Amino acid sequence: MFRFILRRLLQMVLAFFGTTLIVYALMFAGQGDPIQALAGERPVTAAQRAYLTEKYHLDATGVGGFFYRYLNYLGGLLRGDLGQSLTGRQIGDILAAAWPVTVKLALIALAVTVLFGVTAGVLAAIRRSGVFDHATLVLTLLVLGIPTIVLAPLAQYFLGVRWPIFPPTAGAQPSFRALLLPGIVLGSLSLATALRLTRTSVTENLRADYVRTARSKGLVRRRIVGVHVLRNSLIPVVTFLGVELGNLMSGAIITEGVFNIPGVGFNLFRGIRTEDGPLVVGIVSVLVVVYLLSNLVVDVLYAVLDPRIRYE
Amino acid sequence: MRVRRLAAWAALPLAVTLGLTACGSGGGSGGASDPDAAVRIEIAEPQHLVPTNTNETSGSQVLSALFSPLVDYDEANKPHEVAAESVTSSDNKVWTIKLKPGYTFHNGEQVTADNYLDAWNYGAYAPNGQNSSYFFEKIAGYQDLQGEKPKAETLSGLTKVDDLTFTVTLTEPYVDFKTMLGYTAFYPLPKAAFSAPGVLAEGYEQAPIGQGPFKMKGSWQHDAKVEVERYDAFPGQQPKVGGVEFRIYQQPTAAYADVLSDNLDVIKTIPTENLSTAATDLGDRFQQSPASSLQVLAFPTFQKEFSKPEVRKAISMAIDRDEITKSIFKDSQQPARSFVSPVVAGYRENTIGTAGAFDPAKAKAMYEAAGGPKKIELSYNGDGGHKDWIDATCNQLKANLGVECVGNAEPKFADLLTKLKQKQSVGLFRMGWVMDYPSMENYLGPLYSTNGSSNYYGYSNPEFDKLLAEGARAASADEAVKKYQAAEDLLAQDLPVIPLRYGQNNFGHSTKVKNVHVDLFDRVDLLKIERA
Repeated sequence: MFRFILRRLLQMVLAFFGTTLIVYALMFAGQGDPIQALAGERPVTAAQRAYLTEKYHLDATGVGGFFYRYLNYLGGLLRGDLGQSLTGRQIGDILAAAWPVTVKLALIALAVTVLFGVTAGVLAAIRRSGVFDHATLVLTLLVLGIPTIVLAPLAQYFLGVRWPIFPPTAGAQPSFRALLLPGIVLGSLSLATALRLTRTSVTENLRADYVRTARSKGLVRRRIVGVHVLRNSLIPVVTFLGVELGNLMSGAIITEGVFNIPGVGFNLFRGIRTEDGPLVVGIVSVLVVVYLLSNLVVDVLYAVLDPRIRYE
Repeated sequence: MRVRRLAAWAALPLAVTLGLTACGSGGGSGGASDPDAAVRIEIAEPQHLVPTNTNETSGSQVLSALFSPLVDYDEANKPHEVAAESVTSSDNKVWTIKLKPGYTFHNGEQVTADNYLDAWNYGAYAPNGQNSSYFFEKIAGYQDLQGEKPKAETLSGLTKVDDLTFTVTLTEPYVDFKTMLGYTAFYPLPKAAFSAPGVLAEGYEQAPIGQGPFKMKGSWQHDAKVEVERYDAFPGQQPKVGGVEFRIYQQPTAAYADVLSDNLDVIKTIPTENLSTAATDLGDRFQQSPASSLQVLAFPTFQKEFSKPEVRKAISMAIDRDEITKSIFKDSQQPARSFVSPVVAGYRENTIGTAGAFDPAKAKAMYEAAGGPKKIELSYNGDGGHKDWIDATCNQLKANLGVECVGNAEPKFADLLTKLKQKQSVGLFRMGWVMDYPSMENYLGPLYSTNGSSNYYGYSNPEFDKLLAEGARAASADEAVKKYQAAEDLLAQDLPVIPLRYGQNNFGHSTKVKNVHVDLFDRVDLLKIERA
């Protein structure tokens, strides 16, 4: 087990540098005129252009220029310096400010998913073809059908403005209550998927031989479902949640925008919009680490859930 | 029993989150009845908070609280002295600026002529890379501060006379120089802003020290807010509120939702998608005021098919401006038929004459006679919400001229400009202009003079350049306006761009404030705003 984790961690280092190379190359290839992008529609003076070009080595183009700038970036990275964004802010500072709030938001969304998705999925599976099952089927289809870009403003308008149950926006240092609504909105999509997954998996396992055996031994139904079935049914759900944690952090661009949360999604959006290469590479690299780590946790959880799985 | 245990297990992350967020919850806003409490105004994340480096509205809104300008503009947009005692010149070339005594920076320093000289020299010095350095290009010696290794470090045109007086010598007489002084770039900087002569202290930008009616409260919290509080030693007109919290929003729709529920006091620009309901949502708290922006459709006049003025005129006549401003913009903008905005002195209505009158039949005949292209492309930046009106314009051109017309979205305005600089074919393209200071020259010079900084259409008319130069050298403002108007008449004949719409500030405020005014620069007037 220990060797397995160590090997995975070492692979992670490789994957991390590989990603920075790919993302840096993509940003480099897609780069138009970042100086003008930053200025928007205002004219850029020659002096200002010369200043920024020199400061960020924007005149280094072509393959040679790419490796010059990438190695420059990498050198800074190894010294723990993520570089400066085009507005002159330290990218390390931007990330340090953005990550905590996004992590909070993603954890709330994940909690909502687990709490409601898994529970309702189990209930729907036990009472298959009952009223609850059908109701959740319709509801989840509905939620899956509404994109966040519609759901988020609707939730904000009805639950924030019309009936002020929640604050309409969260801001930079939000309270738990302010983050709850965006968390629910963000989690609702994965909630629906988690519910469907749990339901199918539990339904399947309820018909398994070991359940019949357990029942004929006279075990209480609660124990059969709660321990035997659930444990065996959670593997697909945990796989899904592991990947989803990364998705929730990187995919909150719309939710963070609607509820004014200056997190990772917003900064990623801003970085892409202003062609801020170093900012995008910094954010994406950290996101890759999050994905890799959550997948490692999922793999370890497999062994916990199913003793037959062993890592050497 | 088991299910309950499961629920408990599932609640664990929730509990962890609760613990995490508990430390993050801040205090609520101040009491509504307290007139000295802060008002909350929406801005976007400023790019910079150094006067000579700030050229977007969010940054200049914050700086307008921290600094007091030399001149400000009255109702008719003529300049009057604020921090200056007088701004005078006998020949429009050598200007004498006398400062009012008694102004102090927020750190206690007396404001002297040196503070202005230091700030302007810093702004003009090219290696400092200041965004607004071009504002100093009319001052003598500016050229010596340009390039990678400038010849000089200070502008030769700036001379200190005594502690409260200095003179500015321009390379050429310029009648509107006093008007320029109201811009953000001309604020002074305290000695404390510099770590060495000509070197801005690190961290100054995080908590700028100014000489204005408000001082910083804490420092700039990026992506969150900038807070300022009243500076009691300010000798000028005192504000009626105790402070301002400039709250940073990424999307105006979020700010709008906050204004609706009194979580935010002022939104400066109501998003287009909310405009149709704003009047019912906010009642008389939804307000409009003139803005300086002008939206146009520009022709790449360097391309053969658009080189004939008749073709350009026919296209202009085939567009129903009134209909588009009404149905697409819900009257949040006004139809435009001149090259300068109504907010500047010298504006005349309908200078493009018949080219601005919607007349499909005549337009089609003229277009065919001039041999206009069968296919028209309208290019725009896809990130600015322009698709609707571009499509509507295209439909009108299709119907009225019998041509094929497609809208072409470039991801960003920068991409459009890149293509234009390489003289690639983009068809007609949209442009917007916001003035730097209220003068006709600011609408004409940068956009249409041969070497203008934003002349992307390849328009060049020596006669026009000559009139502009004469206007700048004119002895009085009235004479200058006459020259500028003659120059505008030339544009009306040539029509390098079609004026379409004048902008308006469409702003709203909460029930907690009153007397909200948004000026021509899209800034809330912080001296007038009051708590309700």
